[in-house]
Amino acid sequence: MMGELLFLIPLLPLGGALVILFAGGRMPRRMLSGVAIASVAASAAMTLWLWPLAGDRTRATLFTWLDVGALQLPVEILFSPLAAAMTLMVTVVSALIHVYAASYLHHEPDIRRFFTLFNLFVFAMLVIVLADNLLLLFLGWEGVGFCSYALIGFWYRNPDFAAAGRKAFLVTRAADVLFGIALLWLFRLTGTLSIEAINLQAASLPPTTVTILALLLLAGACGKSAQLPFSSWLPDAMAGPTPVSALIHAATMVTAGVYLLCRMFPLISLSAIALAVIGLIGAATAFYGATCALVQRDIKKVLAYSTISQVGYMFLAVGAGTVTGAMFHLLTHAFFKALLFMVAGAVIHLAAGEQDLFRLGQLSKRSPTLFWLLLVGALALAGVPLTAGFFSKDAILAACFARQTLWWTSLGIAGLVTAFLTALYAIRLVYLLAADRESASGHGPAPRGLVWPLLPLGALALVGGLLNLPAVWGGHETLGRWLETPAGALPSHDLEWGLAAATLLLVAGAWLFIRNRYRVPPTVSPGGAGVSFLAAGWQLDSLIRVIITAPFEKIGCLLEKSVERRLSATWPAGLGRLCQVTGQSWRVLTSGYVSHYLAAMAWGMVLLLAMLVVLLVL
Amino acid sequence: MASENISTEQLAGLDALMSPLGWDLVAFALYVGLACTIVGSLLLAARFLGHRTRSPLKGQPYECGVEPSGPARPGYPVPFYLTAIFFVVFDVEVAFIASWAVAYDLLGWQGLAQIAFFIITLLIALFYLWRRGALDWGPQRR
Amino acid sequence: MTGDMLLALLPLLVLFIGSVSVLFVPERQALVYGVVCALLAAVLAWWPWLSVASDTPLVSSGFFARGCLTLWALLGAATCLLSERYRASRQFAAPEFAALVLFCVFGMSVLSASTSLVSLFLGLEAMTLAFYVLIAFDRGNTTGAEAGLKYLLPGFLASALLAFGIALVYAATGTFVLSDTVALTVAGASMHTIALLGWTLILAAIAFKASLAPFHLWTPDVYQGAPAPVAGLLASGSKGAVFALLLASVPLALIAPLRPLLAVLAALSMIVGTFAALPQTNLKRMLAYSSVVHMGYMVLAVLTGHQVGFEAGMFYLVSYGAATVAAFGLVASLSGPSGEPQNYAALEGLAARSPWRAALLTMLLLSLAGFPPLAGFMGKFVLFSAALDAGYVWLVVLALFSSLVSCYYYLRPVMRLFRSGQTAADHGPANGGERLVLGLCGIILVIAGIYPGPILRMIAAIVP
Repeated sequence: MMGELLFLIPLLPLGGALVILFAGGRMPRRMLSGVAIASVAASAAMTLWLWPLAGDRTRATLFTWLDVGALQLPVEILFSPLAAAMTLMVTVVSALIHVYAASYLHHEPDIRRFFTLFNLFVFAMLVIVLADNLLLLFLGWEGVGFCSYALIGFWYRNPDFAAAGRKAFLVTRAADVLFGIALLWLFRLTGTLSIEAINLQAASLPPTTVTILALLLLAGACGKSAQLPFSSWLPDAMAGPTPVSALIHAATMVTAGVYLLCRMFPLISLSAIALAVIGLIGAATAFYGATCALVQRDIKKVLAYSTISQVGYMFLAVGAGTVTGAMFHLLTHAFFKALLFMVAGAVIHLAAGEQDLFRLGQLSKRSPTLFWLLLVGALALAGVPLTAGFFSKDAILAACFARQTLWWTSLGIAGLVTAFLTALYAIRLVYLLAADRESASGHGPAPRGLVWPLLPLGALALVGGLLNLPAVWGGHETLGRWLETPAGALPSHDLEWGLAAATLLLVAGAWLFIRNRYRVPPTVSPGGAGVSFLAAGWQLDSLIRVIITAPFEKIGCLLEKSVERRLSATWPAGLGRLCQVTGQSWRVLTSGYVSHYLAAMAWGMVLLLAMLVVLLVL
Repeated sequence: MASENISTEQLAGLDALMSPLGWDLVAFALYVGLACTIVGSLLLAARFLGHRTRSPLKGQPYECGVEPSGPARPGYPVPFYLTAIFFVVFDVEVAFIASWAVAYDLLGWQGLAQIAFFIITLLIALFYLWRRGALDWGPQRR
Repeated sequence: MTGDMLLALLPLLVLFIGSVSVLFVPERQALVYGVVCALLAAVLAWWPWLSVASDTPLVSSGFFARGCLTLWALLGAATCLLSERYRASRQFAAPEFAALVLFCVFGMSVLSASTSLVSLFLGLEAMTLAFYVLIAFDRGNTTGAEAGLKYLLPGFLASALLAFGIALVYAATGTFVLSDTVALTVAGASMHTIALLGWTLILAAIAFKASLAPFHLWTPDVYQGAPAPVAGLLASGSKGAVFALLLASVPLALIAPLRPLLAVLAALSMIVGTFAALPQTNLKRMLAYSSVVHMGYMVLAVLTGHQVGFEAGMFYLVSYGAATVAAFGLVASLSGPSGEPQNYAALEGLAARSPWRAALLTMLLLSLAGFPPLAGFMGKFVLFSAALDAGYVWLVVLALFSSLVSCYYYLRPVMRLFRSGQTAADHGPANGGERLVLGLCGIILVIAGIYPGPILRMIAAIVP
């Protein structure tokens, strides 16, 4: 009976969205945002209340939508420890960001649209997390895609912002097609869409098929999680309001790809090739994102590239076989990256909309609380020992090195290099924001609503490592034991200590380097060719334009001119016209004369009788 | 399965035609033919025997020499028409009541209850007509 | 006639007595009285002490009959609620209107509950007689009078065919009891051919009532001329009652030689209806042709000849009925004193003027076209898969094609809704009754699409 209550977790935000959509116009603003916050907070409370159910892997079916022969589409959720951990993270972080958004969008006229979409997003995300049916998961998957699109282009009157929304939608859609293929293929092969059933049957599938399926799933995950080569939409997605960036493009939606791979891990792990590719993509993306983040001038773009890079670590973890490590990093990353984004939003708010790092500064003087929170977030991001980011990142690297093969060792080294780069840009961010220079002045002190939701996140970013403290540090690996997920190869104690020491050295080196470089506030300089190459994200956009978009457009123009015009003028248009003409000519039958109608009935009678006689005689 | 069905259908069709030499069908065809012949011959007879003239005068609604004027659908008091309708309606009801009266002793109390229900309904209808003024002749009410 | 029988007949009696007594209710309260009578009948049909089902010689009081009576009573109540404002601006006589609607519901209920050829005839004629008057009820409207005439004359012909058909069937089988007549015909009695001829004539009469091509020509003219709430009842209730009869009491598909006839009627209806609906620019005429197509789909359910198909057919009737009542109800609620907004041009800018009603119109047209996740999709899904199981592949392919083409004519008015129009609106906001009916229809359309389980279970429980 309690199992059915689980459905309230996703349905509460949906209810909030519907209430706001239908009655929001007649509510005062405070009440509207109150409804939005309350529905998500209630969902978080439900998750905590129903937490014991996760231990038994409770399964609940609301109803069966379609039940025809082999095709069964139950609306079913599975509250496994993995899903429970993710649900708790999503609901709690969402609730905090909702509070933040209510005060961030204080002057926004259309908060009804914003909160409708925001709550709808939480609903769709929870559907992804809880669904035990790939089709249901796919519906949530498309739902978050839609909400992300609508929220990136929230200020749609600015054509650039609207274009950013479209770009995000199209790029992720391209990846979703591959995911859709995998989904249909899995149904064809196994005859079911239940994730658990598919994972159970996976071992009986031919190895080549499993590899291709895993790669298709990986492509879908890459699209949603902005991994190479689908990464280019995320930096542009920063056009949306900052709470959107914090919730959708840092904490929750971009990690849905990792979550998908974790859920499907029993299938994926059957193919060593797929695991190797996942690791490679993860490591490459982590390195790519970190290099780009080094030189960005827009504060939100630094964080966007940093997100790409950190999600890359999670992919690396899945590839290395440690689902626990991936989930651990997913959780800690959600805490510190949401924190950083919200600090960035508050900083932008204080500076009246200025986002250029070289024009911001004096944060420590203007708002010490914000500065300390920024410092906490940056230290966790940089992986300074004893912060949450340190433990989760080291667990991933340790899992790589522990495999003791050339491939994984080299990927681990790439991860170490990336860790150094991460420390560099994280500390650079702090230095630039604290720099003693005239900065754009805006509204007075940050409103309380913008600050207090950050405090719990700051605390979690500091001590979140306790969640899964490795045995070397005296912990019990609580998270891993509870999730009962594969933890990959076990690293030796020496390896862990060595890694910790290496991380400490790297962070210290990065700090010294940045301190020397930015001791004097830097002037605005265009930078060399290398800097502009990195700043443009390795020219990935131009590359895609040359390789894919431009030829596609050319072929499209060619087809339009040669084939389409001639063909559409003849076949489809002709068919349409034929239908219209037929319809018009049959209109004559309905002449309006009753005598004709009676005659038609008589002829119909004759037809029926003639048929009957023919049938009888035959 | 399907072939079986068809074969049984065919058998049934053959049976129907062959078993009593399809006499029922023949009788029915004769009946239809007779009906069509009578109706057709009457129509044809009217066509050939009738004397037809076409002239503008003949096309007029009234042939009494009065020029038509005003709209073709004027409101026209027809109490006679109404009375005729009521007569037909209540006349038909008499048929039911008479059929009960013939067998009242066989039908017993149940029959009495049923016919009472019928008559009461009719009475209500009559009362309604009365109230609506359908029985008021002449123009004094409207 | 025992006490049990009287109890079993109680819902029908309530409808009948209501239709007589409403004539003496004052003008203002008459429609409300009609609604109350219809709802009372619907409730009485499920009253616990009626649970002992005792069939009278003419009408059954089984679960199916009671379920149908509930449906038709609800439709009648909806019609009364929808015509309140419509009537006020046209000076209809409310007591007569309510009486006719109730009598019509009475006829439908007798028809779908009939166990005998006699009650079949009586029910059908009672229903049709009420419709003759209802269609021409707006005496100020000449198209209404024309529509009445166009229903009356072919209706007489259909009645004659029905009576003749019944006579032939009786002559061949020697009984009026429906189940016996069908069984005797299937068994192949001595006058098998005559029985088949009789059934064919009955089929033709039923095809007229259900407006299957080529007996459909009256449909567009009558829908166009009839008052919108009446057209709603005609489109949903009368056709529903006829098909309920075919699904429950007269399984025509069991009579093998009639199957090709039914299939041809279905195919012709789909083809003719689809093509004729394409060039329409009048909402009510378009709905008329679309109903021809939908009735073609319903014949598929009759053709399956088994339980699952009948259940699918009933579900389809519910989804189609909700959409149709809502469509004509919308026309009624949008019409002012000057007339009904029948042309697509009159719908322009509706989305801005009254967004709720525009949204509902969009939704119901999409549902009729069969877009998921609305009721129409689910209805087509269960119906077509049942027909596929029964082996009518070519008809299902044809049905799929026709529903593909139907998107064109359903989406044309939808496009006009969202175009900013110059037409001045002369309709006010919807009143309470209209809101209730339209809202309920909208909810049914959504629920039956997303969560069809309970409705399917209810139908499975009542279909014999």
